[in-house]
Amino acid sequence: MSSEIIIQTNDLSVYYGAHRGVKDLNLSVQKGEVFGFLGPNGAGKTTTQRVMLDIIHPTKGKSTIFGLDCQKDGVAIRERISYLPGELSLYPSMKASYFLDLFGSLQKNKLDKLYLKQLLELLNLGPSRKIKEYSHGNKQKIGVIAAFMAKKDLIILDEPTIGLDPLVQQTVLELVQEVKDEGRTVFFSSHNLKEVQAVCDRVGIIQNGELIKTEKIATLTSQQLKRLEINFRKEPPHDAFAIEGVKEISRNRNLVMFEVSQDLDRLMEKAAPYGIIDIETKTVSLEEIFFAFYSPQNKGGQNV
Amino acid sequence: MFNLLIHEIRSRWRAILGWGFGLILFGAVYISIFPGLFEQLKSLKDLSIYKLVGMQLGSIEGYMASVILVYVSILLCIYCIIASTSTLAGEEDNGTLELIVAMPLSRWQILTAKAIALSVVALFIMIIASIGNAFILAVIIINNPINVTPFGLFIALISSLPLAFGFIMIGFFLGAILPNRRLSATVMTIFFIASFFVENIAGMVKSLEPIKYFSLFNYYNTTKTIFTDGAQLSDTIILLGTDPQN
Repeated sequence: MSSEIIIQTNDLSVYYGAHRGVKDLNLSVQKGEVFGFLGPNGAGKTTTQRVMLDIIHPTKGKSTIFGLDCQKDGVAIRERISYLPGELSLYPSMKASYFLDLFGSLQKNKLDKLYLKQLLELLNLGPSRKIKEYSHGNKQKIGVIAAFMAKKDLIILDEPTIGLDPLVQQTVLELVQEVKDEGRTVFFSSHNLKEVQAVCDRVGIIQNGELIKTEKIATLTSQQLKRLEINFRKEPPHDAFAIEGVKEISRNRNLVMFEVSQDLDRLMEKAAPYGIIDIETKTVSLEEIFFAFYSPQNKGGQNV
Repeated sequence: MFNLLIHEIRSRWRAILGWGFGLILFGAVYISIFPGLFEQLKSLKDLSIYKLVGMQLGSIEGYMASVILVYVSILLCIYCIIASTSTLAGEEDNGTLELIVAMPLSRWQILTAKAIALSVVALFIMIIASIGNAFILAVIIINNPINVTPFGLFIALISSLPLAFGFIMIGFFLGAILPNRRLSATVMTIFFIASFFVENIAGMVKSLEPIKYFSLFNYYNTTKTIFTDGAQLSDTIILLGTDPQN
C-alpha cells in the first residue's frame, strides 16, 4: 500500500432540503487500500459515493479523487473509476453481452476482451440472454463484471455481494483481493461485516451522516473491544464491576465474562481483591464491534 | 459519446418501424377515402367546427394539408413527447441513469447524445412515413388527378420535422428539470394541446391572433400553400431555435 491519497473528503456535507445526507465527513483512502465503508441503511454511504462520482453536488465541503476535484473534474475522475451501485438497475430488454460491450465502449480505456471472458467464466455467467431473463443473483453478477472488467484504478462497490450465493460471494472477494494485489484501490461499502473483515484494510463507520470511526480492521478488532473471561478464586458480588466501559455479559459462579471497551487497568484493580486464577481473552468479530457502535446505549460508539 | 448515440438509435429500431409504418397506414386510410369524402364535404355549409380542429375542407389540397399533414405531424409529435420526456426522467425512475452518469461522460454529452439520437429516430420515422404516403398518393392520383404531387406531399411531410424537433427539445428540458417522468409528460402534454388549440383558435378569432406566436404549430405551414411553396425558412429557424443547445 502506498501513502498516496486516492480519495479525500473535507468537511463534506450534503443536505436534501432539510434532510441530512452526510455531515462534515472527513475521510481519506490511500492507494492500494481496500477501504470498508460501514453503516446502517440511510447512514449516508450511498450519498458519499454519489458525491465522489459527481452524480450529486455537496452542499458544503469538498471531495477529491486522484487529487482532482470531484465536482470540477468529474469526467477525468470517472475515466479512472468503475462503480457498482447498491440498487443495481439494468436495461431489462438488453442482452447481457450487449450491455457489457456498451458499457465497455463508454470507458476511456480499451476493454480487455480476454479478461472479460475470464470474468464471465469465473462467475459462471452465460451472457447471451436478455437481462430480464436472469435471476436477481445473475443480474448482480453482470453488475460485478461491469465494475471489474475495465481494470480501473479505483473501484467503488456498493453492496457488491448482495443476492449472490456464498460461493460467488467468495469469488467476488477474491476479485477484490486481486485488485488490491495489483496496487489498485477499492472503496467497499457493505452491510456484510464478515466480508468487510475478510478483505478490507481499514474501515470507516458512518452513522446519521457522520463518520464516527476510521480504523484499521486489525486495530479495531484487537484493541477496541475486548472480551475477557476471568476465573476468580472467590465469587465477586454482582455490583463489583460497575465501571464505565466494562460490561459483565455472563457469569457462572466464579467464572465471569466481561466485554471491555477501555484499558484493563480499572477492571484489574477491581478484580484483584477476589483473586484471579486465570484470564482468557476471546476474539471479537467486527460484527460485534459494529453492533456495539450502534447499540442504543452507545450513542455513536464513544465508549467503544 | 458516439457509442451512446448509436446505442440510443439502435435501441429504438422497433419504434422507427412501428411508428413509420403506422403513419403510412394512417395516411393510406385518409388519402384513399378522400375522393368519395370530398363529394360529401361539398354539401356541408358550416365548416367552422372543422377549422377549430385545424381542418380546411374547402378544397382537396386543403383537406390533404389539414388531415394528412396536421395529423401525421401530431402523431409524430406525440411519439417525440413520450420519448423525450421519458428518456432522462424515465431512466432516472428505472434507476439506469446512475449507470450512465457514472461513465466518463459529461452531462452535456449524455444529453446531446440522447437528443440527437431521438431527432435521428424522428427523422427515420418521418422518412419512412413520407415515402409511404407519397407512394400511396401516387397510386390514388392515377384515377383522381389533383394539384398535389407525391413529391410535394413528401416534402410537406418532411417539413414537419422541425416541429417534432422543437417538441423533443422542450421534452428533454422538462425531463431534465422536473422530478419524474409522469410530471414531465403531463406538463408537456398540456403544452402540446394548448399549443395546438391556440394556433387554431387564433386563426379563427382576429383579436386572439397575437397569441398564435406562442404556439409551435404556428411555425409549421399546414395550409395548401405548403404543397407549392414548401416550408418557410424563418419558421424552420424558429422551431429549431427551441433547441436549448443552440
